[in-house]
Amino acid sequence: MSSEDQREPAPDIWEQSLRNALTRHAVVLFGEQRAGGMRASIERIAKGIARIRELPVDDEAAPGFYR
Amino acid sequence: MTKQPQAFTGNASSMSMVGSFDGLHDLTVAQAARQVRERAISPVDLIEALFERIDALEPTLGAWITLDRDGALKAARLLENDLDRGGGGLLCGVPVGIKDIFYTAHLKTTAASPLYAEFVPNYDATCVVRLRAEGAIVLGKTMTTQFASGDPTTTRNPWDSRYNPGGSSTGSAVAVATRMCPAALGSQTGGSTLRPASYNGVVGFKPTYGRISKYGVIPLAWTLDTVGIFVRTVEDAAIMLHVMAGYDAKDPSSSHHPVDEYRDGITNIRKRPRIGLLREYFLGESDKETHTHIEYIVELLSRKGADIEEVELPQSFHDSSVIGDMISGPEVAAFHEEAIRNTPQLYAPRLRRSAEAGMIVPAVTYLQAQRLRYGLKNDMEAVTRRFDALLTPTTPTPPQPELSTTGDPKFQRPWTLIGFPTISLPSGLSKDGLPMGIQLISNSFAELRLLSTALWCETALDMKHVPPQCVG
Repeated sequence: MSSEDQREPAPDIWEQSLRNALTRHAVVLFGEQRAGGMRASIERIAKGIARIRELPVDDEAAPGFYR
Repeated sequence: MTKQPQAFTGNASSMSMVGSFDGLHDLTVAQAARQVRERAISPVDLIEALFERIDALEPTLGAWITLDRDGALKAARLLENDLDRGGGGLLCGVPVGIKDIFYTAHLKTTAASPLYAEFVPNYDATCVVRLRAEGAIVLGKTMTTQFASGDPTTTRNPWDSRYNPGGSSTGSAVAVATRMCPAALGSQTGGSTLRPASYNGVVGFKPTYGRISKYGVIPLAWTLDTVGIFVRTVEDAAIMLHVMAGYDAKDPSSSHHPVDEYRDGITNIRKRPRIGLLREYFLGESDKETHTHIEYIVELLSRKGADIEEVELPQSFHDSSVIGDMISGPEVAAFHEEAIRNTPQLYAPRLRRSAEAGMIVPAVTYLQAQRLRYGLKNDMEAVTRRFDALLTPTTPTPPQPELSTTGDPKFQRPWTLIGFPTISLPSGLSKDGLPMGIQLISNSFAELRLLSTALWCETALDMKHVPPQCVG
């Protein structure tokens, strides 16, 4: 595998792939028709995933029951 | 399962009034408890008076799912006997409403869902146990949106039925606003206590996450859900917290943090409060009327002696919405997944959509969002610790003539996400005669400081507005 293959795709291609993957996931869980009506949710989740990936996480921050 | 309230329209000036406001129904928590304890009034008379009021108002407002007339009167009679023997707790004879997601022993708990329509728990939620132990009397279960989510209820705003009453704790807010009871329990996962409190002109209080046990409360999103309190005065909020706060081994999210002396403590700190004004985002996202109202409130509080300073939000605050979304969706999905798979038709559309969307959020995104909460919380603690409280409008607009949602929770959600205690105080009326509110925020477990500041503001604002009481 070349170093070029290992690079992450351009953001627009990455986000489109993510939307497609989320849509396929929704189709598996809820069927074509229901998943077709989830376009706005899928768009919001895709943006959320992308944004969460961008944000710096403190190494000491462990998930757990929040108190 | 729930009946549609009869429609009424009008505003504060055009509605007829039921009874006078010096009756038993107008007693606050503190007043009712004191008068019952001192035998100035009978707990049975108090309960009967409030049921009379409920009978008159309920057909137009729809604030309750289940009323427990027999149970409440039985408890009042038992209390009367107990008083003869010198008994009586902090909430001696105080009638309360309980949002219908809290377990109540031998009383239906439906979560406003057909799935739970006939569910009768055999035990009380811990906070209900603590209320009853101090002498509170449960009148019944108040209307909630389905599983405390975002699909609106049939409950009407008592100020004007054409306007949004908020949610999800709609019935609790309306019942307290219309003097059907002096206190009610709600919950907040996004903005489900403070927003309906503001829309209905009452005090809404969300303590720190983990301060009050959630054992026996049907969850919406475990790491966000917080017990909320509806009352008409800050003093009453302190009393209710005093009774319910404290560790509960049955709730894994319950905190060991020491409990303060809330009831008496709030009156011991009456210095000029130092308040941080969050103008940037909160006034930028408000409509013109709310913006103008808050500027007026700031001027008024400053004139009365508050030390108010504008503060900037940390950059991380602006990601609170996406962090919250990536946490709440999967948690809602986890609780409802099996039932949605088996009986999707029994779900209200918004809740179903929200749960289904949550099912496709990747686990890593959920966990990273949980980790990001810590950074956001730390950043906000650094801002908040310089002040007794931060100040914002409770909602971006007054209640709107729009009933297809429960209103916009974006001014409450960030604080729920980081677990800070918040309180909404009535602060005036809109041009349409609907209530407006201010939101005060303090650091985690700084309830005493928050409530003291709220008490100071309540005195300074001196609000006397009451909703029009309509005859059914």
